[in-house]
Amino acid sequence: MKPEDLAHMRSTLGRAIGRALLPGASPDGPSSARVSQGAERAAESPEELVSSFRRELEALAGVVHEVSGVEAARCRVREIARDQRATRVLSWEGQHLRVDGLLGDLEGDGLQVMTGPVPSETEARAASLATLERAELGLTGADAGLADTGSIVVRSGPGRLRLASLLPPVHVALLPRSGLWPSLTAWLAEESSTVQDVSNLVIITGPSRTADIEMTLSRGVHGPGELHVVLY
Amino acid sequence: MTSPLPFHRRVEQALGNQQLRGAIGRATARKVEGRLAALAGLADADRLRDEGRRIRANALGRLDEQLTRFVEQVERHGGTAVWAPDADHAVRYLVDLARARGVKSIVKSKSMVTEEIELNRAIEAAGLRVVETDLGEYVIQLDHDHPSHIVAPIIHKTRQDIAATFKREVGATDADVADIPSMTAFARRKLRQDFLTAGMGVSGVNFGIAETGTLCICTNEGNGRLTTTVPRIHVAFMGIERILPTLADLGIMLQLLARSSTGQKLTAYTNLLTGPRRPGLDAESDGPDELHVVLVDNGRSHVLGSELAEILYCIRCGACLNACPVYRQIGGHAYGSVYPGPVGAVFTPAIGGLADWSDLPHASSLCGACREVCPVRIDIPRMLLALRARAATEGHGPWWARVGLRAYRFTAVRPTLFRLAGRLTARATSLVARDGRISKLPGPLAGWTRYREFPAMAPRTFQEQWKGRRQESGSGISSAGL
Ligand code: SF4
Repeated sequence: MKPEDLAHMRSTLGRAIGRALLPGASPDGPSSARVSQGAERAAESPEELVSSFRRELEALAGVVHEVSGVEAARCRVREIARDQRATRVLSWEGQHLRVDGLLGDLEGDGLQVMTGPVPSETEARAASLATLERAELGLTGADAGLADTGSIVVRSGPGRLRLASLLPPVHVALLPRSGLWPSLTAWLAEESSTVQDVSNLVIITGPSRTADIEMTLSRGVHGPGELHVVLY
Repeated sequence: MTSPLPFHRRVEQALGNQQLRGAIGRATARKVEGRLAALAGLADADRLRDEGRRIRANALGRLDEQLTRFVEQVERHGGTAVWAPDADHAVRYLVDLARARGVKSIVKSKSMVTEEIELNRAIEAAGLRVVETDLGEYVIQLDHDHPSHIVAPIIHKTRQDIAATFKREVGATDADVADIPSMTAFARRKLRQDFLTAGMGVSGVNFGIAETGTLCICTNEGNGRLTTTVPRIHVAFMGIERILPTLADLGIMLQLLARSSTGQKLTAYTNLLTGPRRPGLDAESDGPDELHVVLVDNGRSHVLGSELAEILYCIRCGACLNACPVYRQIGGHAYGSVYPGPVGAVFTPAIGGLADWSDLPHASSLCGACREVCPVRIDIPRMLLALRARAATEGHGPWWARVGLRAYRFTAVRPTLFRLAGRLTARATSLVARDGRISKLPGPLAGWTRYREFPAMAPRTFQEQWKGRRQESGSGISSAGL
């Protein structure tokens, strides 16, 4: 911002604040609402976290695949790809999925794996997007799962395409059980400093949805209409 | 922002539209139930609302510091922050930027502030193409209509209306509009092409986080993510009041927003953006290369420095619309502005001035339902009264109301005249009353009795009756009683 604009902004607002009537303002301090939110949830056991996460996501028509271990997770993703009759998958790069050899397996199954990156230059960008858009399946990791809302937290980054959780009609996310948190508040309390490490962090709660037409729910309007979380 | 018809005419039109009233009545009832269920699922709903209110009040009380911090952080992460004192500055910035970058086509996700500043009109006037991508807003744009609800823009349309629009405007076939899922899929295909070819994405902002320079944009459809990921340039328009100091504050506000607006626990996509795609050797795989944040004042700092500052706490959840008995009868169009319902009845005249909007503060029965449901407990009735008082002292509103009030004041401070006028009015009404009721008043007064009866006045005024009583019972007792 230009320095003179910043000065103008500050003086305009400073003057306004001097005259403002702001009912409900009070000095900052540890608030009772926040304290109680944290305390209640700390008590939850790992099993409770899993069952709550599952219940919440299923209520939104998301699919939770509980498997044990990395090996089982790898098999399950291949099964999902087969069930979907996918031929192209838009994916994070292998090391970010944290399930070794998965992309190689998918290629062995005859799938074309695309991982970006998307170029900046206008024409190359358009061409790349047109190709990526043809994927039937999107594959990503998940940085956290939130038990009380059935959400997953997904960060962008090098080798971590945002588009993989966004363009294809089906999104499959790999989430280790150790990544489950009781709630968004609990996660933010510990991890908020990482929000600005990357340009994009998205909290995904169920498949893409709209109720714009006659208040009738319909899925997959712009984002994926199906969301699978493989919990391992 | 000015509307062509006077308010009472718009209301009459809306009341005469049975389809509109049916649709809005059903939809708002469902939303009210959804909100109640969602808040009931929260262990601490009341304390959370208190906390939300405190967060908003404190953020605004230090808005100068908070916005400065926000600007610093946006720039530290490689974004550009721009101060737009008014609508003109804001739209000019965007049009100039689009021209400078050779952008021809723009995709937009839902945003109230860009409607307030009439951004689309300016873009089209500059010869560029702009496409609304929220399903509801897309239909509105194709129909050249206006949104009628801040969360559900096409609440007033039936599926048949929308099917007809898709066929007429964008060549949908019968199969494309056979049912709601087909129509949704049709819109997805159409808009996907626009996303992939757009040179710029324009969004609103739900919250800007001062400590990190993060933008929070919530959508259910995912169009907000596409808008801010696919095109090379992202321009976000943010009302200056949308600031939250910390990410912890955001955690609280998100819980309140989704529950109050759609009855969800969280919106499907809560998108947090901190700067454009990180460049360099270890560059991020995708995302926009440029991020511009346009901070729109457009009257807000003026509102902040007044008794109406509380309306800036608003998080645009739409709960007050669903709860308002007036909105539920007349829908959003009758308000004639971008912001309908109780929040609009305060916000529109607050930023747009009372000269054009003096009747909006009267579009309320002051029942308090809006204050009751508001997640941050905004006292809308208090501000409606303040605006009514301001309109009266500043001399806005119809001439007859001003003349009438002046005549009343003249009479009320002259006891003899007041008594005489009272007696005359009582006599006059008793002439037109039938069975103690007046069902038809003549001339300009007819409006009073069109939809309801008026009770006839007592044949003798209070003062006459009082005098009579004192004479009957002897003056000593009643003055002792006083
Ligand atoms: S005034 Fe309150 S209830 Fe109405 S939209 Fe704003 S936050 Fe929601």
